[in-house]
Amino acid sequence: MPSNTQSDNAKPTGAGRVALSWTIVGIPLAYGIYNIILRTAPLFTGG
Amino acid sequence: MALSFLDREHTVAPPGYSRWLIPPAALAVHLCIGQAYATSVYKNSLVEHFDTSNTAIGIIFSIAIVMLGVSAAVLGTWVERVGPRMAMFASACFWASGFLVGALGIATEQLWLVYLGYGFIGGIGLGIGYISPVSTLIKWFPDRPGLATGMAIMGFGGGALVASPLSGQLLSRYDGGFDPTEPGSIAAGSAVVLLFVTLGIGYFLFMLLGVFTVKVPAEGWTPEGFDPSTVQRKTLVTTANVSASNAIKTPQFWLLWTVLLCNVTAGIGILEQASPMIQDFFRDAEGNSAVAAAAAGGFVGLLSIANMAGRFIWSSTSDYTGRKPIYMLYLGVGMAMYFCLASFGTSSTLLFVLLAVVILTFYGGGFATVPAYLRDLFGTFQVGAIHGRLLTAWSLAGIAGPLIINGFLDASGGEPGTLTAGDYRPALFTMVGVLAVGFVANLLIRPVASRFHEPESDEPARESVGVARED
Repeated sequence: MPSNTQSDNAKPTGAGRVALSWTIVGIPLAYGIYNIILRTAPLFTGG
Repeated sequence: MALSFLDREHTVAPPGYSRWLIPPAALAVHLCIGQAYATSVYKNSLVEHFDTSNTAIGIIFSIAIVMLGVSAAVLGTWVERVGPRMAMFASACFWASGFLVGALGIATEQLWLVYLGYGFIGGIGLGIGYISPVSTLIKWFPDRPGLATGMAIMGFGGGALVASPLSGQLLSRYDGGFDPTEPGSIAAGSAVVLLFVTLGIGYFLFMLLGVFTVKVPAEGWTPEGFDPSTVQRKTLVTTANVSASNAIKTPQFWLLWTVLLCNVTAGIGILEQASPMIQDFFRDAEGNSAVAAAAAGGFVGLLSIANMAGRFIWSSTSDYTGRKPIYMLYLGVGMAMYFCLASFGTSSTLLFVLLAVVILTFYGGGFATVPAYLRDLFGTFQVGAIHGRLLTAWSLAGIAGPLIINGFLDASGGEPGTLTAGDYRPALFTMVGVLAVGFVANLLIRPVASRFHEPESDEPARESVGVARED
């Protein structure tokens, strides 16, 4: 079976589209992590 | 047909399509369905709204998790056949419909409708959504399957981190008297109705990002510079394919099922009791705990991060170590961690926290690494469907883990708020035994016998062969 590698590609996906996709899923994830870090703080401050 | 763009044949990636678009597509689904682990935000509101017990409301979540396992097992082959785009779309429809029917149930004060909506319909969305991107990710990342599935399944852990504060903020917006930072504050039922409608619509739209982005690689595609022979040389890794119906006839499937069952049972044991457990471990003779309630809440948050991080870190590491050795780590070192927690956990809060964090990274790692382990053993042909069948171990562990912990705590005769570390020790030593069973099961895993392999052909059969072929 012939191998179809990315080196054959004529029109690669733009880096901007990849970055945008990661940003769209990254923003809510970052929001969740930020909030959980706030919640974790009392464990270290003894609050 | 209007929805033909969802078909597998319409989702084949054109030359040049970046495989790095596939993990965010998978994350778009997993971040949404991970909400299933953030139901505690509105649980008390539903108890008051329906004027019923915690158990009656807890059943909503239980139905959803049972349906996750059942639908993943039953619909896994369908997911493989129709492809990831159709599966993700179906998952989005079920998941969103579940919220909307659930909202109708809350608005009309009919609890059975919430069981049907969020529990049954939403649970089907959970199962389809959980397995929908797995097979596709493995095909796009034949060189790094652990990394790929780790990223997606990390999203399921992350989904709860997103949904919990988001739900709290939305509820306070819909009910001015509700304060999510106040433990005793309870939102009105009407606010939960609006929350469910908002989440249903919001999750549907967000999951569409995954639907429109995901693509399957063209037949024969390999990443640039990838040499399949480097993967084939690793122990246990096969280039053959095993159908889902044949996989469940192999001892390897059931050994791995046992491994997942044991790893998840042990992890859930800690997760379920995390907040009271840390307070009980540091309770003095007068019954006062050295760990405040707020700090115990922080401990739960830290475990959530450990659970999520373990999914990505350990699953990615397994691409270098191999799957069997990494499970020896999860289960073997996990046994040592549980033993230390039971024996020396009271000596310092820092030690207790560190041990629990490591255990929870292994718990998350066990979830995220298992699709790559299945791919090594059974090939890529129906790995998503096989994964779906394996997830029944998760459903059982969800019952077994809490049962073990709560069973021993109830047997100790202590009341909540008066328990001490000694009351937990029998349960923790039992978890050492549970992990030992998993450790042995992992050791026994060998390559799958060739009689279970699909016949060699240019295009593997779409349907499973049903009867194992004797070579």
